[in-house]
Amino acid sequence: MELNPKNRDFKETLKSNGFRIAAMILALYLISGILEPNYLQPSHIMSVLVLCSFLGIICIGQTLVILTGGADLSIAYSVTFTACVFAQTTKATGNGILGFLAAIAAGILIGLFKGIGVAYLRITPMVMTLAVNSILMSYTFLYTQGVLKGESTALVTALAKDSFLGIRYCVLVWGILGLLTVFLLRKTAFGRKIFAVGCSQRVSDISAINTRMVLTGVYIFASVMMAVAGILLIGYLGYPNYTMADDYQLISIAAVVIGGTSILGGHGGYWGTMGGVVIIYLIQSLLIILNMAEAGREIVNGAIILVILLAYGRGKKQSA
Amino acid sequence: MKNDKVRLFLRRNAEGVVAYGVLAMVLVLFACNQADFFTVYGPQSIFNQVITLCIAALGQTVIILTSGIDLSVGSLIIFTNCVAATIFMPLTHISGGSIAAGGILTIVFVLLIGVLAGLFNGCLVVYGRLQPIVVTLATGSIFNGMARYVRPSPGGEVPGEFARFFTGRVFGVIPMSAIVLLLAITCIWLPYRRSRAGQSLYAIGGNEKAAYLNGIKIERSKLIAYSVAGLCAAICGILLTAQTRSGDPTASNNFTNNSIAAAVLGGVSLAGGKGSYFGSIAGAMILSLIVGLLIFWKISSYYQNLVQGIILIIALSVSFFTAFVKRKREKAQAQEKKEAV
Repeated sequence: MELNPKNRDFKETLKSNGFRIAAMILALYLISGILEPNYLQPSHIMSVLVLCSFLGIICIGQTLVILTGGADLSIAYSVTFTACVFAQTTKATGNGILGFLAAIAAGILIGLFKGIGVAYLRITPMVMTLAVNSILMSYTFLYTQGVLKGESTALVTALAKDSFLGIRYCVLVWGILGLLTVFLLRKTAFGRKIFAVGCSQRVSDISAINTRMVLTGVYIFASVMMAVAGILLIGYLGYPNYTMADDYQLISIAAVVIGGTSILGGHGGYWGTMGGVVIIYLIQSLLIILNMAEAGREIVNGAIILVILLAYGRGKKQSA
Repeated sequence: MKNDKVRLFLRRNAEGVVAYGVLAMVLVLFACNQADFFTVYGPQSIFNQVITLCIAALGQTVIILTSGIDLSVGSLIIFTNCVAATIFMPLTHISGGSIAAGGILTIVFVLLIGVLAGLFNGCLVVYGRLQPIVVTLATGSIFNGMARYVRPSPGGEVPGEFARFFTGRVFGVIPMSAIVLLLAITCIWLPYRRSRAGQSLYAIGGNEKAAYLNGIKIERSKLIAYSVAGLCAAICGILLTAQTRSGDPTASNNFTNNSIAAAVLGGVSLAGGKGSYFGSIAGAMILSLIVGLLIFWKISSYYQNLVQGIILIIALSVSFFTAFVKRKREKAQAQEKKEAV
């Protein structure tokens, strides 16, 4: 059966990743809108987007790491630690810019450490980041001496809470960083090398790509993004908290995978992840409408992620 | 001849040997610091410290051998722990107030839950054709939620006899935990390792496509592997119940992280198909005994995760450095040969 080109184009659009994500977002949005009409209002959309922005910025890092074929399991304390550095330095020096620089520097150091472990010592990324998470967890307690000090600065609080033309600043920050990431992945040599390394580290090595530098660069960039998210979270919450980023560990990987990036690396991109992030929070707000207790919410959350993955994240059937 | 065999064994199990070396060091440090190390209480307290992680590491080892990873162990342990603590007394009443009968019923029931939960993971991986890491991440969230559903708040009632049975000694000398570990080795690991399903773990982990082409029933083997992992998590949940005498859905536990770390420390390759449970036991013992050492030395518990993380990184770098040295030596040898020619 011959399909005319126009028809085939349409079919392919239907099958494409972007279309599926857009359809899912629309469906979730309409369902929650029907159940709770207030949710259709712009103010609610904005509050969902604000929550999305923190996860979205964290997911910039997670997407890049997963694209190289790893997975970052140190999200929780990479974010918490840098946030604590920001809050504590700001309090000690009374200067928000110094706090910001200290947090970014901490992010760079953490990323360098992870990168050296993964790229040069050849430790499996998941184990390396797991170990780094343990270390950072201890170090956060040691650094704060068990008592969380410090608070947000006016500027950072404004970033998280004030809006510009009806759009909150942190959503704008997310949008700008997201666009930069998409540009980085698609248009720069570094971005293309990330995909190459994710497809096959050996082949990229032979093709004269400095895979070690690429991997180290990815981990540094990812950790800096986590530091940015940590700082914004401080602005949103007002003060640091040891468990402030625990939930992001699971959903950051889920968002990236729902967004169509292969967990095996080499395929995907940040546009999809942005959609994945929005889907995750639409599901969460839907569960809040349904007035579900925390136990039920956790179960349904896991189940929905599984269903979405079963719908289109499946691998190929084993065959000769 | 015999010397060759020993050398071959050492070379094949280099990582495992390193792990046992470190374990020996830790035990020596223990002997120096623990006053009652050489009495019957020494082994008892040591085995009680390590047993839960040793059992959790068995399940993780099996999954990692198939080149998967199980991020739901911790949640499943908590879930089975909560179930056990909640149903123990009701089951005891049903069985006529006998704690032994209640205990056996609880254990059977919880083990069944564990196997089913593992099978659930396995079905999603095999028939859903999803990556193990995302599957177990999602099911972990489900198990967590179920634990909270079963026990909205920490608590539950577990009779002291049950706790004493699992943490005490048999014949006054042998720690019960050591017997449990021995049972796990002789009744789960060894028969499993020697069965067709266990043998195919290594084939699948080594090269899944080649295993498939050689007619290995990949789907069945993986389902069995995930069920065994679920069973181990349930056993661990029961032991945890005996140790804490309650179920706590909010307990933050490091079982997921530490079981992976234990397997990796013991020389199990995350790429799959390489390693053995005997290595993981050493890894698990090191990780749990380190915590005890920190307590002896009165070091703040803040350092616990730091030390565990650093040990993991160092252990993994050791294999890198030995490989590096080996490569250098081979290069030098090749150079010599070239010059000789």
